[in-house]
Amino acid sequence: MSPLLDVRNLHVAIGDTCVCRDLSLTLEAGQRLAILGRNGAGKSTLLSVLAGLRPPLAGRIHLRGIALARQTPHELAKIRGWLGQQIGDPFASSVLETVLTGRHPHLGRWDWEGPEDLAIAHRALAAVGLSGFGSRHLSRLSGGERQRVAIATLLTQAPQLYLLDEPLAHLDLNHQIAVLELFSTKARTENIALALVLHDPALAARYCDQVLLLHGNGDSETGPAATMLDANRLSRLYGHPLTRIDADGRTVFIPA
Amino acid sequence: MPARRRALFALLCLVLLALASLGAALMAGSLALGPGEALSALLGHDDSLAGEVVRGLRLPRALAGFACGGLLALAGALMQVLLRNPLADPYILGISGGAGVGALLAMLLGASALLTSGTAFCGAFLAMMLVFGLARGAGSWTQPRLLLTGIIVAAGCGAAITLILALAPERQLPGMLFWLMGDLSQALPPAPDLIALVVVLAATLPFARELNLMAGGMETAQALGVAVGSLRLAIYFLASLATAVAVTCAGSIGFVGLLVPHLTRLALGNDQRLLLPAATLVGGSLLVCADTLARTVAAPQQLPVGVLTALLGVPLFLFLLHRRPA
Repeated sequence: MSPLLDVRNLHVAIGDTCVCRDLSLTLEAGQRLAILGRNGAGKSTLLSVLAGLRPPLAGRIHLRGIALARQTPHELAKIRGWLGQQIGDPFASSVLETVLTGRHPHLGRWDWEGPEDLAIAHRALAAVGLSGFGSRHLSRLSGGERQRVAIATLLTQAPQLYLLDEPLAHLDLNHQIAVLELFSTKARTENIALALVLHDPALAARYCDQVLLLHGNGDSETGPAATMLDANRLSRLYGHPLTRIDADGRTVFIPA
Repeated sequence: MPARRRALFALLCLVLLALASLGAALMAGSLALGPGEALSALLGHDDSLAGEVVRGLRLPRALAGFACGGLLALAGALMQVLLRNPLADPYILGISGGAGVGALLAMLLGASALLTSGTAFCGAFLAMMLVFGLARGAGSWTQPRLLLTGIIVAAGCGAAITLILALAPERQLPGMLFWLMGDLSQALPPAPDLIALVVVLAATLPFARELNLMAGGMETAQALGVAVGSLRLAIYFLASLATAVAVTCAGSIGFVGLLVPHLTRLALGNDQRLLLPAATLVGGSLLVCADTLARTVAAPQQLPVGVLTALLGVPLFLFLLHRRPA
Protein backbone atom coordinates (compact mmCIF):
# COMPACT_ATOMS: atom_id res chain seq x y z
CA MET A 1 0.00 0.00 0.00
CA SER A 2 1.28 3.46 -0.91
CA PRO A 3 2.07 5.93 1.88
CA LEU A 4 -0.50 8.56 2.84
CA LEU A 5 1.75 11.42 1.77
CA ASP A 6 4.67 10.96 -0.62
CA VAL A 7 6.78 13.97 -1.63
CA ARG A 8 9.58 13.70 -4.21
CA ASN A 9 12.12 16.37 -5.22
CA LEU A 10 9.86 19.21 -4.20
CA HIS A 11 10.94 22.75 -5.06
CA VAL A 12 8.99 25.59 -3.46
CA ALA A 13 9.68 29.34 -3.58
CA ILE A 14 7.89 32.56 -2.56
CA GLY A 15 8.98 35.34 -4.87
CA ASP A 16 12.78 35.20 -4.90
CA THR A 17 13.06 33.28 -1.63
CA CYS A 18 13.67 29.57 -1.95
CA VAL A 19 11.76 27.59 0.69
CA CYS A 20 13.07 24.17 -0.19
CA ARG A 21 14.76 22.40 -3.07
CA ASP A 22 14.82 18.68 -3.69
CA LEU A 23 12.76 17.97 -0.61
CA SER A 24 11.63 14.36 -0.33
CA LEU A 25 9.66 12.83 2.50
CA THR A 26 6.99 10.25 3.17
CA LEU A 27 4.36 10.18 5.87
CA GLU A 28 2.64 6.92 6.76
CA ALA A 29 -0.64 6.58 8.61
CA GLY A 30 -0.03 7.11 12.32
CA GLN A 31 3.12 9.23 11.84
CA ARG A 32 3.55 12.74 13.23
CA LEU A 33 5.84 15.23 11.49
CA ALA A 34 6.96 18.51 13.07
CA ILE A 35 8.09 21.35 10.78
CA LEU A 36 10.55 23.75 12.42
CA GLY A 37 12.27 26.84 11.11
CA ARG A 38 12.77 30.55 11.68
CA ASN A 39 10.12 33.17 10.94
CA GLY A 40 9.83 33.64 7.20
CA ALA A 41 11.57 30.36 6.38
CA GLY A 42 8.46 29.28 4.46
CA LYS A 43 6.87 26.78 6.85
CA SER A 44 3.33 27.96 6.09
CA THR A 45 4.00 28.15 2.36
CA LEU A 46 5.32 24.59 2.32
CA LEU A 47 2.30 23.39 4.27
CA SER A 48 -0.15 25.02 1.86
CA VAL A 49 1.74 23.45 -1.07
CA LEU A 50 1.40 20.05 0.63
CA ALA A 51 -2.32 20.78 1.06
CA GLY A 52 -2.66 21.51 -2.66
CA LEU A 53 -3.65 25.13 -2.08
CA ARG A 54 -0.79 26.44 -4.22
CA PRO A 55 1.36 24.71 -6.82
CA PRO A 56 5.05 23.89 -6.27
CA LEU A 57 7.72 25.07 -8.74
CA ALA A 58 8.77 21.50 -9.38
CA GLY A 59 8.53 18.03 -7.90
CA ARG A 60 5.60 15.78 -7.21
CA ILE A 61 3.25 15.20 -4.30
CA HIS A 62 1.20 12.03 -4.06
CA LEU A 63 -1.65 11.54 -1.65
CA ARG A 64 -2.49 7.86 -1.13
CA GLY A 65 -0.69 7.06 -4.37
CA ILE A 66 -2.53 9.60 -6.55
CA ALA A 67 -0.92 12.84 -7.73
CA LEU A 68 -2.27 15.83 -5.83
CA ALA A 69 -2.84 17.87 -8.99
CA ARG A 70 -5.07 15.14 -10.43
CA GLN A 71 -7.59 15.24 -7.58
CA THR A 72 -10.47 17.71 -7.40
CA PRO A 73 -10.71 20.03 -4.36
CA HIS A 74 -13.73 17.99 -3.27
CA GLU A 75 -11.85 14.67 -3.36
CA LEU A 76 -8.85 16.22 -1.60
CA ALA A 77 -11.05 17.60 1.18
CA LYS A 78 -12.09 14.07 2.15
CA ILE A 79 -8.47 12.99 2.59
CA ARG A 80 -6.55 15.97 3.94
CA GLY A 81 -7.51 18.79 6.25
CA TRP A 82 -5.67 22.10 6.55
CA LEU A 83 -5.61 24.49 9.47
CA GLY A 84 -4.53 27.97 8.40
CA GLN A 85 -3.48 30.97 10.41
CA GLN A 86 -6.42 33.01 11.63
CA ILE A 87 -8.12 35.60 9.46
CA GLY A 88 -11.12 37.63 10.54
CA ASP A 89 -14.67 36.76 9.53
CA PRO A 90 -16.47 39.90 8.27
CA PHE A 91 -19.89 38.34 8.80
CA ALA A 92 -20.81 37.18 12.25
CA SER A 93 -21.55 33.48 12.21
CA SER A 94 -22.17 31.24 15.19
CA VAL A 95 -19.70 28.69 16.49
CA LEU A 96 -21.93 25.77 15.50
CA GLU A 97 -22.42 27.10 11.95
CA THR A 98 -18.68 27.47 11.58
CA VAL A 99 -17.89 24.01 12.90
CA LEU A 100 -20.56 22.46 10.64
CA THR A 101 -18.77 23.83 7.56
CA GLY A 102 -16.33 20.97 8.11
CA ARG A 103 -19.05 18.57 6.91
CA HIS A 104 -19.10 20.21 3.47
CA PRO A 105 -16.99 17.56 1.66
CA HIS A 106 -19.25 14.81 3.00
CA LEU A 107 -22.55 16.35 1.84
CA GLY A 108 -24.18 16.15 -1.58
CA ARG A 109 -24.98 19.32 -3.53
CA TRP A 110 -28.53 19.69 -2.24
CA ASP A 111 -28.02 18.10 1.20
CA TRP A 112 -28.45 20.08 4.39
CA GLU A 113 -26.63 19.13 7.56
CA GLY A 114 -28.58 16.37 9.32
CA PRO A 115 -28.72 15.10 12.92
CA GLU A 116 -25.60 12.96 12.36
CA ASP A 117 -23.59 15.97 11.21
CA LEU A 118 -24.82 17.90 14.23
CA ALA A 119 -23.74 15.08 16.53
CA ILE A 120 -20.28 15.04 14.91
CA ALA A 121 -19.99 18.82 15.34
CA HIS A 122 -20.99 18.66 19.00
CA ARG A 123 -18.46 15.88 19.64
CA ALA A 124 -15.76 18.00 17.98
CA LEU A 125 -16.65 21.01 20.15
CA ALA A 126 -16.51 18.82 23.24
CA ALA A 127 -13.10 17.51 22.18
CA VAL A 128 -11.62 21.03 22.22
CA GLY A 129 -13.39 21.99 25.45
CA LEU A 130 -16.04 24.21 23.87
CA SER A 131 -19.22 22.30 24.77
CA GLY A 132 -22.08 24.71 25.12
CA PHE A 133 -20.42 27.37 22.91
CA GLY A 134 -22.50 26.39 19.85
CA SER A 135 -24.79 29.40 19.75
CA ARG A 136 -22.08 31.96 20.65
CA HIS A 137 -20.98 34.32 17.91
CA LEU A 138 -17.46 34.04 16.60
CA SER A 139 -16.87 37.77 17.01
CA ARG A 140 -17.47 37.41 20.75
CA LEU A 141 -14.76 34.78 21.27
CA SER A 142 -11.16 35.29 22.35
CA GLY A 143 -8.30 34.49 19.96
CA GLY A 144 -7.60 31.18 21.70
CA GLU A 145 -11.26 30.15 21.62
CA ARG A 146 -11.44 30.97 17.91
CA GLN A 147 -8.37 28.84 17.30
CA ARG A 148 -10.11 25.94 19.05
CA VAL A 149 -13.22 26.50 16.91
CA ALA A 150 -10.99 26.17 13.83
CA ILE A 151 -9.55 22.93 15.23
CA ALA A 152 -13.07 21.62 15.93
CA THR A 153 -14.02 22.42 12.32
CA LEU A 154 -11.09 20.34 11.16
CA LEU A 155 -12.14 17.45 13.43
CA THR A 156 -15.63 17.66 11.91
CA GLN A 157 -14.09 17.37 8.45
CA ALA A 158 -12.50 14.10 9.64
CA PRO A 159 -9.63 13.76 7.12
CA GLN A 160 -6.83 11.17 7.28
CA LEU A 161 -3.99 13.66 6.91
CA TYR A 162 -3.99 16.75 9.12
CA LEU A 163 -1.82 19.68 7.98
CA LEU A 164 -1.68 22.16 10.86
CA ASP A 165 -0.15 25.60 10.48
CA GLU A 166 0.73 26.81 13.98
CA PRO A 167 -2.08 24.88 15.70
CA LEU A 168 -0.95 26.25 19.08
CA ALA A 169 -1.23 29.94 18.12
CA HIS A 170 -3.15 31.96 20.76
CA LEU A 171 -3.50 28.89 23.02
CA ASP A 172 -2.40 28.95 26.64
CA LEU A 173 -0.25 26.17 28.06
CA ASN A 174 -2.97 23.77 29.18
CA HIS A 175 -4.76 24.00 25.84
CA GLN A 176 -1.50 23.59 23.92
CA ILE A 177 -0.92 20.27 25.63
CA ALA A 178 -4.59 19.27 25.33
CA VAL A 179 -4.57 19.89 21.56
CA LEU A 180 -1.32 17.98 21.02
CA GLU A 181 -2.61 15.10 23.20
CA LEU A 182 -5.83 15.08 21.17
CA PHE A 183 -4.02 14.76 17.85
CA SER A 184 -1.42 12.25 19.02
CA THR A 185 -4.18 10.06 20.47
CA LYS A 186 -5.98 10.26 17.12
CA ALA A 187 -2.75 9.28 15.36
CA ARG A 188 -2.46 6.22 17.60
CA THR A 189 -6.07 5.08 17.68
CA GLU A 190 -7.47 6.25 14.33
CA ASN A 191 -4.31 5.96 12.24
CA ILE A 192 -4.37 9.53 11.00
CA ALA A 193 -1.15 11.26 9.98
CA LEU A 194 -0.08 14.69 11.15
CA ALA A 195 2.22 17.42 9.83
CA LEU A 196 2.39 20.49 12.01
CA VAL A 197 4.32 23.73 12.24
CA LEU A 198 5.69 24.21 15.77
CA HIS A 199 7.81 26.83 17.47
CA ASP A 200 8.95 24.82 20.48
CA PRO A 201 11.43 21.99 19.75
CA ALA A 202 10.56 20.48 23.15
CA LEU A 203 6.95 19.94 22.07
CA ALA A 204 8.21 18.45 18.80
CA ALA A 205 10.38 16.06 20.80
CA ARG A 206 7.45 15.05 22.99
CA TYR A 207 4.74 14.61 20.36
CA CYS A 208 6.35 13.95 16.98
CA ASP A 209 8.33 11.05 15.55
CA GLN A 210 9.52 12.83 12.38
CA VAL A 211 11.03 16.31 12.06
CA LEU A 212 11.60 18.57 9.05
CA LEU A 213 13.99 21.49 9.53
CA LEU A 214 13.67 24.38 7.07
CA HIS A 215 16.82 26.50 7.12
CA GLY A 216 15.36 29.41 5.19
CA ASN A 217 17.89 29.32 2.35
CA GLY A 218 16.39 26.37 0.51
CA ASP A 219 18.25 23.76 2.56
CA SER A 220 16.16 21.31 4.51
CA GLU A 221 16.75 18.22 6.62
CA THR A 222 14.30 15.43 7.36
CA GLY A 223 14.66 12.53 9.74
CA PRO A 224 13.54 10.82 12.92
CA ALA A 225 12.90 13.23 15.78
CA ALA A 226 15.67 11.69 17.91
CA THR A 227 18.41 12.58 15.36
CA MET A 228 17.01 15.90 14.15
CA LEU A 229 16.35 17.45 17.57
CA ASP A 230 19.95 17.88 18.54
CA ALA A 231 21.26 21.03 20.25
CA ASN A 232 23.88 21.79 17.54
CA ARG A 233 21.46 21.37 14.66
CA LEU A 234 18.78 23.50 16.34
CA SER A 235 21.33 26.19 17.27
CA ARG A 236 22.22 26.42 13.57
CA LEU A 237 18.53 26.40 12.58
CA TYR A 238 17.55 29.30 14.79
CA GLY A 239 20.90 31.14 14.61
CA HIS A 240 21.03 31.17 18.40
CA PRO A 241 22.86 28.83 20.78
CA LEU A 242 20.57 26.31 22.52
CA THR A 243 21.31 23.95 25.40
CA ARG A 244 19.55 20.62 25.74
CA ILE A 245 18.32 19.62 29.20
CA ASP A 246 16.75 16.28 30.10
CA ALA A 247 14.52 16.25 33.16
CA ASP A 248 11.92 13.70 34.31
CA GLY A 249 12.21 11.84 31.01
CA ARG A 250 11.38 14.97 28.96
CA THR A 251 13.66 17.06 26.81
CA VAL A 252 13.74 20.86 26.73
CA PHE A 253 15.93 23.28 24.82
CA ILE A 254 16.95 26.44 26.59
CA PRO A 255 18.21 29.46 24.63
CA ALA A 256 21.53 30.77 25.92
CA MET B 1 -28.33 27.03 11.54
CA PRO B 2 -31.70 27.12 9.87
CA ALA B 3 -33.00 23.68 9.16
CA ARG B 4 -34.31 23.12 5.67
CA ARG B 5 -37.92 23.21 6.86
CA ARG B 6 -37.48 26.55 8.64
CA ALA B 7 -35.86 27.98 5.50
CA LEU B 8 -38.75 26.82 3.31
CA PHE B 9 -41.26 28.33 5.73
CA ALA B 10 -39.43 31.68 5.70
CA LEU B 11 -39.33 31.64 1.90
CA LEU B 12 -43.05 30.84 1.72
CA CYS B 13 -43.81 33.88 3.90
CA LEU B 14 -41.63 36.05 1.65
CA VAL B 15 -43.40 34.77 -1.48
CA LEU B 16 -46.70 35.88 0.10
CA LEU B 17 -45.12 39.27 0.89
CA ALA B 18 -44.02 39.60 -2.73
CA LEU B 19 -47.51 38.75 -4.01
CA ALA B 20 -49.01 41.27 -1.61
CA SER B 21 -46.66 44.01 -2.82
CA LEU B 22 -47.51 43.24 -6.45
CA GLY B 23 -51.21 43.27 -5.60
CA ALA B 24 -50.91 46.66 -3.94
CA ALA B 25 -49.05 48.00 -6.99
CA LEU B 26 -51.92 46.87 -9.24
CA MET B 27 -54.57 48.51 -7.04
CA ALA B 28 -52.97 51.85 -6.15
CA GLY B 29 -52.87 54.89 -8.39
CA SER B 30 -55.02 57.73 -9.71
CA LEU B 31 -57.55 55.07 -10.69
CA ALA B 32 -57.88 53.28 -7.36
CA LEU B 33 -59.19 49.71 -7.56
CA GLY B 34 -60.37 47.21 -4.96
CA PRO B 35 -58.77 43.74 -4.79
CA GLY B 36 -61.68 42.15 -6.69
CA GLU B 37 -61.67 44.79 -9.43
CA ALA B 38 -57.91 44.56 -9.82
CA LEU B 39 -58.06 40.78 -10.09
CA SER B 40 -60.80 40.77 -12.70
CA ALA B 41 -58.97 43.48 -14.65
CA LEU B 42 -55.79 41.44 -14.45
CA LEU B 43 -57.49 38.27 -15.67
CA GLY B 44 -58.92 40.15 -18.63
CA HIS B 45 -62.61 39.95 -17.67
CA ASP B 46 -62.71 43.68 -18.04
CA ASP B 47 -62.15 45.53 -21.29
CA SER B 48 -62.81 48.89 -19.72
CA LEU B 49 -60.25 51.50 -18.74
CA ALA B 50 -59.37 49.53 -15.59
CA GLY B 51 -58.29 46.52 -17.66
CA GLU B 52 -56.07 48.66 -19.84
CA VAL B 53 -54.51 50.46 -16.90
CA VAL B 54 -53.81 47.27 -14.93
CA ARG B 55 -52.59 45.06 -17.78
CA GLY B 56 -51.00 47.72 -19.94
CA LEU B 57 -49.38 50.04 -17.38
CA ARG B 58 -49.29 48.80 -13.81
CA LEU B 59 -48.46 45.11 -14.32
CA PRO B 60 -45.39 45.63 -16.57
CA ARG B 61 -44.11 48.36 -14.30
CA ALA B 62 -44.64 46.30 -11.13
CA LEU B 63 -42.94 43.27 -12.69
CA ALA B 64 -40.02 45.39 -13.90
CA GLY B 65 -39.70 46.84 -10.41
CA PHE B 66 -39.80 43.40 -8.81
CA ALA B 67 -37.20 42.03 -11.22
CA CYS B 68 -34.86 45.02 -10.75
CA GLY B 69 -35.16 44.96 -6.98
CA GLY B 70 -34.56 41.21 -6.90
CA LEU B 71 -31.57 41.45 -9.23
CA LEU B 72 -29.98 44.27 -7.23
CA ALA B 73 -30.47 42.55 -3.88
CA LEU B 74 -29.12 39.26 -5.25
CA ALA B 75 -26.15 41.00 -6.86
CA GLY B 76 -25.46 42.83 -3.59
CA ALA B 77 -25.52 39.63 -1.54
CA LEU B 78 -23.16 37.96 -4.04
CA MET B 79 -20.76 40.93 -4.09
CA GLN B 80 -20.60 40.94 -0.29
CA VAL B 81 -19.51 37.32 -0.30
CA LEU B 82 -17.16 37.74 -3.26
CA LEU B 83 -15.36 40.72 -1.72
CA ARG B 84 -15.83 39.45 1.86
CA ASN B 85 -16.88 42.97 2.68
CA PRO B 86 -20.19 43.87 4.32
CA LEU B 87 -20.10 47.32 2.71
CA ALA B 88 -19.99 45.97 -0.84
CA ASP B 89 -22.99 46.64 -3.09
CA PRO B 90 -23.76 45.94 -6.77
CA TYR B 91 -22.36 49.32 -7.83
CA ILE B 92 -19.09 49.18 -5.94
CA LEU B 93 -17.12 47.78 -8.88
CA GLY B 94 -18.13 50.51 -11.30
CA ILE B 95 -20.84 48.69 -13.24
CA SER B 96 -23.49 51.33 -12.66
CA GLY B 97 -20.92 54.03 -13.42
CA GLY B 98 -20.17 52.43 -16.78
CA ALA B 99 -23.88 52.11 -17.53
CA GLY B 100 -24.39 55.75 -16.52
CA VAL B 101 -21.71 56.98 -18.91
CA GLY B 102 -23.23 54.89 -21.72
CA ALA B 103 -26.79 56.04 -21.07
CA LEU B 104 -25.94 59.74 -20.67
CA LEU B 105 -23.80 59.78 -23.80
CA ALA B 106 -26.72 58.34 -25.77
CA MET B 107 -29.10 60.90 -24.25
CA LEU B 108 -26.66 63.72 -25.07
CA LEU B 109 -26.71 62.61 -28.71
CA GLY B 110 -30.51 62.48 -28.63
CA ALA B 111 -30.91 58.73 -28.96
CA SER B 112 -34.21 56.89 -28.37
CA ALA B 113 -35.03 55.15 -25.08
CA LEU B 114 -34.27 51.74 -26.55
CA LEU B 115 -30.88 52.85 -27.84
CA THR B 116 -30.13 54.49 -24.49
CA SER B 117 -30.74 51.17 -22.78
CA GLY B 118 -28.48 49.46 -25.31
CA THR B 119 -25.59 51.85 -24.68
CA ALA B 120 -26.18 51.61 -20.91
CA PHE B 121 -25.77 47.85 -21.10
CA CYS B 122 -22.65 48.22 -23.27
CA GLY B 123 -21.20 50.71 -20.77
CA ALA B 124 -21.87 48.32 -17.89
CA PHE B 125 -20.29 45.46 -19.82
CA LEU B 126 -17.19 47.52 -20.69
CA ALA B 127 -16.75 48.58 -17.06
CA MET B 128 -17.07 44.96 -15.96
CA MET B 129 -14.42 43.76 -18.44
CA LEU B 130 -12.13 46.69 -17.62
CA VAL B 131 -12.24 46.03 -13.88
CA PHE B 132 -11.82 42.31 -14.45
CA GLY B 133 -8.85 42.75 -16.78
CA LEU B 134 -7.07 45.32 -14.61
CA ALA B 135 -7.69 43.51 -11.33
CA ARG B 136 -6.43 40.26 -12.75
CA GLY B 137 -3.27 41.90 -14.11
CA ALA B 138 -0.46 39.46 -14.69
CA GLY B 139 -1.24 37.05 -11.95
CA SER B 140 -3.46 36.55 -8.97
CA TRP B 141 -6.76 38.19 -8.23
CA THR B 142 -6.89 39.29 -4.63
CA GLN B 143 -9.93 40.85 -3.01
CA PRO B 144 -8.32 44.18 -2.04
CA ARG B 145 -6.98 44.57 -5.57
CA LEU B 146 -10.37 43.84 -7.15
CA LEU B 147 -12.08 46.21 -4.74
CA LEU B 148 -9.60 49.06 -5.32
CA THR B 149 -9.69 48.64 -9.10
CA GLY B 150 -13.48 48.70 -9.05
CA ILE B 151 -13.65 51.77 -6.84
CA ILE B 152 -11.16 53.65 -9.05
CA VAL B 153 -13.05 52.76 -12.24
CA ALA B 154 -16.30 53.83 -10.54
CA ALA B 155 -14.68 57.15 -9.58
CA GLY B 156 -13.53 57.66 -13.17
CA CYS B 157 -17.05 56.98 -14.44
CA GLY B 158 -18.39 59.44 -11.86
CA ALA B 159 -16.12 62.16 -13.24
CA ALA B 160 -17.21 61.38 -16.81
CA ILE B 161 -20.88 61.58 -15.74
CA THR B 162 -20.32 64.98 -14.13
CA LEU B 163 -18.59 66.16 -17.31
CA ILE B 164 -21.53 65.05 -19.48
CA LEU B 165 -23.98 66.78 -17.12
CA ALA B 166 -21.92 69.98 -17.36
CA LEU B 167 -21.90 69.86 -21.15
CA ALA B 168 -25.52 68.78 -21.66
CA PRO B 169 -28.14 71.34 -22.77
CA GLU B 170 -30.49 72.34 -20.00
CA ARG B 171 -33.62 70.68 -21.40
CA GLN B 172 -31.91 67.25 -21.28
CA LEU B 173 -30.84 67.53 -17.64
CA PRO B 174 -34.07 66.31 -15.95
CA GLY B 175 -34.10 63.08 -17.99
CA MET B 176 -30.45 62.46 -17.20
CA LEU B 177 -30.88 63.11 -13.50
CA PHE B 178 -33.91 60.82 -13.36
CA TRP B 179 -31.89 58.08 -15.02
CA LEU B 180 -29.03 58.54 -12.55
CA MET B 181 -31.35 58.42 -9.55
CA GLY B 182 -33.20 55.39 -10.84
CA ASP B 183 -36.65 55.55 -12.35
CA LEU B 184 -39.14 52.89 -13.37
CA SER B 185 -41.51 55.12 -15.38
CA GLN B 186 -39.39 54.65 -18.50
CA ALA B 187 -38.78 50.94 -17.82
CA LEU B 188 -38.67 48.61 -20.79
CA PRO B 189 -40.82 45.44 -20.95
CA PRO B 190 -39.93 43.30 -17.90
CA ALA B 191 -39.34 39.98 -19.68
CA PRO B 192 -35.50 40.23 -19.99
CA ASP B 193 -35.17 41.24 -16.34
CA LEU B 194 -37.39 38.42 -15.10
CA ILE B 195 -35.46 35.92 -17.21
CA ALA B 196 -32.13 37.28 -15.91
CA LEU B 197 -33.43 37.03 -12.34
CA VAL B 198 -34.41 33.38 -12.76
CA VAL B 199 -31.15 32.51 -14.55
CA VAL B 200 -28.84 34.15 -11.99
CA LEU B 201 -30.74 32.69 -9.03
CA ALA B 202 -30.85 29.22 -10.57
CA ALA B 203 -27.13 29.38 -11.37
CA THR B 204 -26.04 30.47 -7.89
CA LEU B 205 -28.38 28.49 -5.61
CA PRO B 206 -26.68 25.11 -6.22
CA PHE B 207 -23.43 26.69 -4.97
CA ALA B 208 -24.91 28.40 -1.92
CA ARG B 209 -23.12 26.16 0.59
CA GLU B 210 -19.82 26.79 -1.21
CA LEU B 211 -20.54 30.52 -0.89
CA ASN B 212 -21.00 30.08 2.86
CA LEU B 213 -17.48 28.69 3.00
CA MET B 214 -16.08 31.45 0.76
CA ALA B 215 -17.47 34.08 3.12
CA GLY B 216 -15.23 32.57 5.80
CA GLY B 217 -12.04 32.85 3.72
CA MET B 218 -10.79 31.74 0.32
CA GLU B 219 -8.06 29.35 1.47
CA THR B 220 -10.21 27.69 4.12
CA ALA B 221 -12.95 27.24 1.53
CA GLN B 222 -10.49 25.69 -0.92
CA ALA B 223 -9.17 23.35 1.78
CA LEU B 224 -12.76 22.24 2.43
CA GLY B 225 -13.23 21.28 -1.21
CA VAL B 226 -14.50 24.43 -2.96
CA ALA B 227 -13.08 25.10 -6.43
CA VAL B 228 -12.52 28.71 -5.39
CA GLY B 229 -10.91 30.00 -8.58
CA SER B 230 -13.70 29.08 -10.98
CA LEU B 231 -16.48 29.75 -8.50
CA ARG B 232 -15.48 33.34 -7.81
CA LEU B 233 -15.08 34.05 -11.53
CA ALA B 234 -18.60 32.74 -12.08
CA ILE B 235 -19.95 34.79 -9.17
CA TYR B 236 -18.22 37.94 -10.44
CA PHE B 237 -19.80 37.58 -13.88
CA LEU B 238 -23.24 36.57 -12.63
CA ALA B 239 -23.43 39.42 -10.10
CA SER B 240 -22.18 41.87 -12.74
CA LEU B 241 -24.71 40.59 -15.27
CA ALA B 242 -27.54 40.94 -12.75
CA THR B 243 -26.45 44.51 -11.98
CA ALA B 244 -26.06 45.43 -15.65
CA VAL B 245 -29.54 44.13 -16.53
CA ALA B 246 -31.17 45.94 -13.59
CA VAL B 247 -29.37 49.22 -14.28
CA THR B 248 -30.20 49.03 -17.98
CA CYS B 249 -33.89 48.66 -17.12
CA ALA B 250 -34.31 51.33 -14.48
CA GLY B 251 -31.13 53.35 -13.98
CA SER B 252 -29.01 53.15 -10.85
CA ILE B 253 -31.55 52.70 -8.10
CA GLY B 254 -29.67 53.13 -4.85
CA PHE B 255 -29.52 51.23 -1.58
CA VAL B 256 -31.58 48.16 -2.49
CA GLY B 257 -28.41 46.23 -3.24
CA LEU B 258 -26.68 47.28 -0.02
CA LEU B 259 -29.53 47.41 2.41
CA VAL B 260 -31.64 44.36 1.53
CA PRO B 261 -28.90 41.73 2.02
CA HIS B 262 -28.14 43.26 5.44
CA LEU B 263 -31.79 43.41 6.49
CA THR B 264 -32.29 39.80 5.41
CA ARG B 265 -29.09 38.71 7.14
CA LEU B 266 -30.17 40.34 10.40
CA ALA B 267 -33.55 38.64 10.26
CA LEU B 268 -32.62 35.19 8.92
CA GLY B 269 -28.87 34.68 9.42
CA ASN B 270 -26.00 34.41 6.99
CA ASP B 271 -26.67 30.99 5.44
CA GLN B 272 -26.53 31.75 1.69
CA ARG B 273 -28.90 28.86 0.95
CA LEU B 274 -31.63 30.92 2.59
CA LEU B 275 -30.13 34.40 2.23
CA LEU B 276 -29.89 34.46 -1.59
CA PRO B 277 -33.53 33.59 -2.41
CA ALA B 278 -34.82 35.54 0.61
CA ALA B 279 -32.89 38.71 -0.31
CA THR B 280 -34.17 38.38 -3.88
CA LEU B 281 -37.79 38.28 -2.70
CA VAL B 282 -37.32 41.08 -0.16
CA GLY B 283 -35.50 43.27 -2.70
CA GLY B 284 -38.23 42.76 -5.29
CA SER B 285 -41.03 43.47 -2.81
CA LEU B 286 -39.28 46.53 -1.41
CA LEU B 287 -38.75 48.11 -4.82
CA VAL B 288 -42.35 47.42 -5.88
CA CYS B 289 -43.59 49.14 -2.69
CA ALA B 290 -41.17 52.06 -3.10
CA ASP B 291 -42.23 52.53 -6.72
CA THR B 292 -45.92 52.42 -5.82
CA LEU B 293 -45.21 55.17 -3.28
CA ALA B 294 -43.13 57.08 -5.82
CA ARG B 295 -46.00 57.35 -8.27
CA THR B 296 -48.79 57.96 -5.76
CA VAL B 297 -47.34 60.11 -2.95
CA ALA B 298 -47.06 63.34 -4.94
CA ALA B 299 -49.43 62.42 -7.82
CA PRO B 300 -49.74 63.52 -10.55
CA GLN B 301 -46.03 64.29 -10.09
CA GLN B 302 -43.90 61.08 -10.22
CA LEU B 303 -40.84 60.90 -8.00
CA PRO B 304 -37.79 58.89 -9.08
CA VAL B 305 -37.95 55.63 -7.15
CA GLY B 306 -34.21 55.75 -6.41
CA VAL B 307 -34.80 58.79 -4.22
CA LEU B 308 -37.40 56.93 -2.18
CA THR B 309 -35.23 53.83 -1.68
CA ALA B 310 -32.38 56.08 -0.57
CA LEU B 311 -34.61 58.14 1.72
CA LEU B 312 -35.89 54.94 3.32
CA GLY B 313 -32.51 53.24 3.15
CA VAL B 314 -30.13 55.79 4.64
CA PRO B 315 -31.75 56.12 8.10
CA LEU B 316 -32.52 52.41 8.30
CA PHE B 317 -28.95 51.49 7.43
CA LEU B 318 -27.46 53.97 9.90
CA PHE B 319 -29.76 52.55 12.56
CA LEU B 320 -28.67 48.99 11.84
CA LEU B 321 -25.01 49.96 11.79
CA HIS B 322 -25.36 51.79 15.08
CA ARG B 323 -27.24 48.92 16.72
CA ARG B 324 -24.78 46.30 15.61
CA PRO B 325 -22.41 45.13 18.38
CA ALA B 326 -18.79 46.02 17.69
